[in-house]
Amino acid sequence: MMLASRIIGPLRCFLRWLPLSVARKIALATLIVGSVPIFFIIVYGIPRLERALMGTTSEVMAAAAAEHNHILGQFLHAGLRQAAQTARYPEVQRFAQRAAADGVSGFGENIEIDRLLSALGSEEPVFFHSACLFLLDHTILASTASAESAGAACDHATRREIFDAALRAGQPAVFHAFGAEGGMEIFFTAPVERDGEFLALLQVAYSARILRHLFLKVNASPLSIPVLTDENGEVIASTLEVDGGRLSSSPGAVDFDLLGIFDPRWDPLPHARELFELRHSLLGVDDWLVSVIRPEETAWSLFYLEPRARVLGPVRSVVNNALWLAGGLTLLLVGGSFLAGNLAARALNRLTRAADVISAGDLSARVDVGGRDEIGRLARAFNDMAHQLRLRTEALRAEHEKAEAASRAKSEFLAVMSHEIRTPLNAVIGYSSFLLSDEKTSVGDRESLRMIEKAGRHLLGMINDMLDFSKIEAGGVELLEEPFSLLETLADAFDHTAPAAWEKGLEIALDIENGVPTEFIGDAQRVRQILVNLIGNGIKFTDKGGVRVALRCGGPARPGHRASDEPGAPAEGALSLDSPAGDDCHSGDQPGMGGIPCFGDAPVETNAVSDWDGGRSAVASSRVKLVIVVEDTGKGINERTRSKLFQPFSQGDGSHTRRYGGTGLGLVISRRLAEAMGGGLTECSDPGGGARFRVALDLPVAEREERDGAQSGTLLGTAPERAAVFSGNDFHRAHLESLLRQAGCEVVEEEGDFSLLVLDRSHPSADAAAPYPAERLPRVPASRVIELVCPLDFGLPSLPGVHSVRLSKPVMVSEIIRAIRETHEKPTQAGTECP
Amino acid sequence: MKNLRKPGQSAREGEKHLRGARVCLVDDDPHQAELVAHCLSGLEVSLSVFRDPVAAETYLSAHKTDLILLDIMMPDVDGWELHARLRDSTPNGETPVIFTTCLIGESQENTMSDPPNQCVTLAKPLTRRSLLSAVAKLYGGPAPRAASFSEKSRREP
Repeated sequence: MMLASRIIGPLRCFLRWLPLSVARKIALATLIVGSVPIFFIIVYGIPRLERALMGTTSEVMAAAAAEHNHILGQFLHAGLRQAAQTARYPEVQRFAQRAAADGVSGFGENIEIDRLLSALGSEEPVFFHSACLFLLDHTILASTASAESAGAACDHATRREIFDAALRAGQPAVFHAFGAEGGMEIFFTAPVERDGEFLALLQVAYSARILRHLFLKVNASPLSIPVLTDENGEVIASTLEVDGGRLSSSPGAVDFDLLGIFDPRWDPLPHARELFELRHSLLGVDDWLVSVIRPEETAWSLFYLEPRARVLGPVRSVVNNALWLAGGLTLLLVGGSFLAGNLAARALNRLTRAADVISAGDLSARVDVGGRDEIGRLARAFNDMAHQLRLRTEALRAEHEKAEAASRAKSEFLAVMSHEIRTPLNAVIGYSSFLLSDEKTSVGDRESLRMIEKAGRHLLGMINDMLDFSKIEAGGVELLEEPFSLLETLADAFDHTAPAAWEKGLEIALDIENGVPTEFIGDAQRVRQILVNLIGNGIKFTDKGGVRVALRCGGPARPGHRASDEPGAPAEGALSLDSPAGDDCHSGDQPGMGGIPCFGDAPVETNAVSDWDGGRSAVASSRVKLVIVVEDTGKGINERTRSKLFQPFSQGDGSHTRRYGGTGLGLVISRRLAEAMGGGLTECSDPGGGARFRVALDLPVAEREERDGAQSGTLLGTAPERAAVFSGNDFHRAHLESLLRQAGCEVVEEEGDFSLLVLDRSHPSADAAAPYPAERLPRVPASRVIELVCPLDFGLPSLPGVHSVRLSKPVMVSEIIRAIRETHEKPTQAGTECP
Repeated sequence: MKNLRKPGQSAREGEKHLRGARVCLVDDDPHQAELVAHCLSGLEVSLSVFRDPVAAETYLSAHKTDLILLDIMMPDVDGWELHARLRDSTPNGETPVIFTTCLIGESQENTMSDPPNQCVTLAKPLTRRSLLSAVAKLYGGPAPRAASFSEKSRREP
C-alpha cells in the first residue's frame, strides 16, 4: 500500500505537470502501468522460474546419472565376481601351488587352466582383452594372450604398480590403466591363495570402451554425455570418443577440466541432486549443466552433462512468447486508452467551447453531449447551470433595468423638484432686488426687502448646496476634461466675490508665485466653485483686513522661487505674508517645477529678457500639483469648530449659522471636489491668526499657445525705485509692499524720501478707507503715482495736480511692473489706465 | 503675460456689446420678462417676449435678433429643442443664445462659450452682472464675428 502510494503520487504529479493532452496522458499512464508487470517478469519472474526449473532438472539429471552409475556398478560387480570365482577354483589353486613349489614351468602347458581363463572372456569377447595368472615374482603362469603380448604387458610399469596394489589389497579389486595398445583398460584382479598363503594373482583386462558401449545402451540423447573420470581427472570412459585420458569429440579434440568444477579428491561424498554449470564449448554447445555421482568402491567420478538450453529452452521460449503477448496487449491497451481519452477530450472540448461562448456573453449556448456516463452527466449539469445562469442574468438585468428606471425617475423627480422650488425663488429674489434698486422704494421697505432677498438667497444656496452634495455623495463627481485658463477662473471667482468684500471694506490680495502654470486641463467650473466657496467663507468671517489668495506650484521638479521668501516686515495686524503659507500644512511636498509654462514673471534674480525665450511649449501630459492657499484676517477657527469643519451641515456653532448664513456644506463640497481632482483640502490656520485653507489639485498642464509677448519681469536695468505705499487697509498695504519687493523696488516709509507712490484709493463706502492727506500732495513726484482703485470706482477723479497711472484691484506683480515702466515712459500724460 | 480680468470688467464690456441690441426672451414664467427687462434697463434694448416656444419659433424664423434668452423647461418644446431648430434655420442660425434655467444652481453654470455653438447656460435668478458677463464672454472670444451688437444693429436698417 505504501509502495503503491509512493509510486502513484509522484506519477500523478508528473502526469499533471506534463504539457500533454488528456488522451496522451491516459495513454502514457497505461503504457507505464502495462510495462510494470513485464518489467517484473523479466527482472524477477524469469530468474525465479529458472531456479525452480533447475531444481527439477537436477533431480532428472541425478536420476539419469544414477542409471549410468548403476550400469557401471553392474559391470564392475560382474567382473570382480568372475575374477574372484576363477581364483577360488581348486585347479587354479593347485596349479599355482605347484608352480610356486617347482618354480616356473610350462607356459601354456596346462590346458585345463587355459580353458578356465578363456571362459572369463566368453561373455564379452569383443571388449575382453586378456586374462593372466601371475606368480608373485611377476612370472606369467598362464595367459589368454600370446606369451609376447602378455610379457610386454607385464613389463609395463603401470601394470606392475597395479600388481603391487592388488597384492596389497589382498582381495579382488578393480584398476584402470593405459593398455599396451594405448587405450584405457579396466583390470579386475583376484589373489589366488591356498591355506591362507598368497600363491598367485589373477588379472582380467577389459577395454574401457565396453563402458561406452554400456552407456550408449541407456543414454537418451547424443547430447546427454556421461563422463567417467578417475581421481586425477583422466577420462576413463564416455559416450564420446576418448583418447589418452581426454575426451576427443568431433569437431576436434576438446580439453576441459571437469575437476575444475568438482574435485572428487576433496569431497568424497556422492553429489547427486546438485547441479553445476559448465561453460565450455562442446559439440557446439556452450552452456552445460553437470550432475556428479560417485561410483561405489572406486575413486572415480561419473559426470553427467546435459546442455542447459535443452532443459530451459522450451520454458524460455514459452516465457518469451508470453512476454511478447503482454507487450502487444499493452500497446493495444495504450492505443485503446488513447482513443477513449480522445473521445472524452472531444466532449470536454465541446464543454470548454460552450463555456467560452457563455463567458463571451451568449447565454444561449448549450453543449450537445449525450450519454449516461460522467461526461454526459457533466454536460447535462453544465447545460442546467447555463440555463440557470441565463435565468438569473435575465432576472438581474430586469432588476437592473428596474433600478435604473427608478434612478432615472428619481433624477427626473429631483430635477423637477429643484426646478419647481427654484422658480418661485427666482421671482422672490428677482423682485426684491428689482425693488431694492428702485429709487422710489422707501428706506423702511428697503430694509424689509433686503431681509427678503437675503432669506431667498440663503434658501437658494441651501437648495443648490444640498443638491450638489447629494449628487457628489451619490455618484461621485463627474469632472470635465477641458482646457481652461486659471487666470480666467480666478477672475470669475473674483467677479463673484470681490464686490461683497469691497462692500465690507475688505481687500482681496492675489499672490501668484513665479512659475505657476496658467493653462490646465480640467473642470474650470468646479475649480471656480472651490475658489468661490473659500474666498466667500473668508469674506464672510472677516470684518477687517482682507482675504489673500496665493497660488503655488507643488510640482516635483526644482523648488520654485517663492514670493514669500522676500525679506520685509509685515504690517501690524495684517497677514504675515512672509510666512510660507501652506508649507506647514503638509510637510514633504516642497514646491517646484521645471519646463512647464507658467506665469511669466521672471525670477527676481535673473534678467527679465533672458528669462523669456519665446514661448516655451508645454508637454500636455505633464501634471502639476497646484496649491491654492486662501487665508483671511478674520477671527480664526477655534479648536471646537476645527473638529467639525468638514462635517456636513455644521458651521462652527449654531450662532455662526444664524449670524453668517450659509448651509455648512461649502467646505464639504469643496473638499470632495478637490479630492476628485487628485488633491485635497486641508485647514491649516496659525493659532491666533485668521483661517487658512490649503487646496491641492493634481491637474495636467495644457499645451500652451504662443505667449502674447507682453514682456514682464523685474525692473532690473532701470534705476532702483524707492517706493512708498499709502493704504487705509494695513493688510492691503503689506501685500502691496510685498508685490513691490517682488518687482524689485525698495520699499520705504511714506514719511521718507521716495520716488514712487503707490496710492490705494479704497472704496469710499469702506470704513477703513481714508483719503490721501492733501497736505502731503506737494511731496509726491508729479508723474510717479500709481493709483489703485476698485473697478467699480474707475471713474473716480484723479488727485489734483498729480499725473498717475491707474490700476484696478486686485493687482498682480506684472501689472505693477508695467505701471512703473509706464510712469517712466509717459511722464506728461495724466490718468492713464492700465487695465 | 495676460492681465487679470478685473471684477465687473466683463459686465462693462457686456454693457457695451448689448447697448441698442434686439433681444428675444422665450420663457413660460410670466415674471421672467419683467425681471429680464429690469436687468437690461438703461441699455436701450428692444426686448421681444414669448411665453410660448412655438410662437417664438415662428417669430424667430422670420426676424433676425442679436441675442436670444431661452428657458429650458417649457411645455411642448423645451429650450434645447427650440435651440436646435433655430440652429437649422435662418436668419437666427448663428445668433448667440443664453439658456436661463432653474434646473441648475449657480455652481453648475456654464459660461465658457464654445465659439461655434455660441451658447452659455445661466442659473436663475439672473442678475444684471451675470447676464452682462455672459454676453461679454459670448462676444469676447477670438471668434471672427466678435463685433458688438450695436455696430451690427447700426449696419442693418
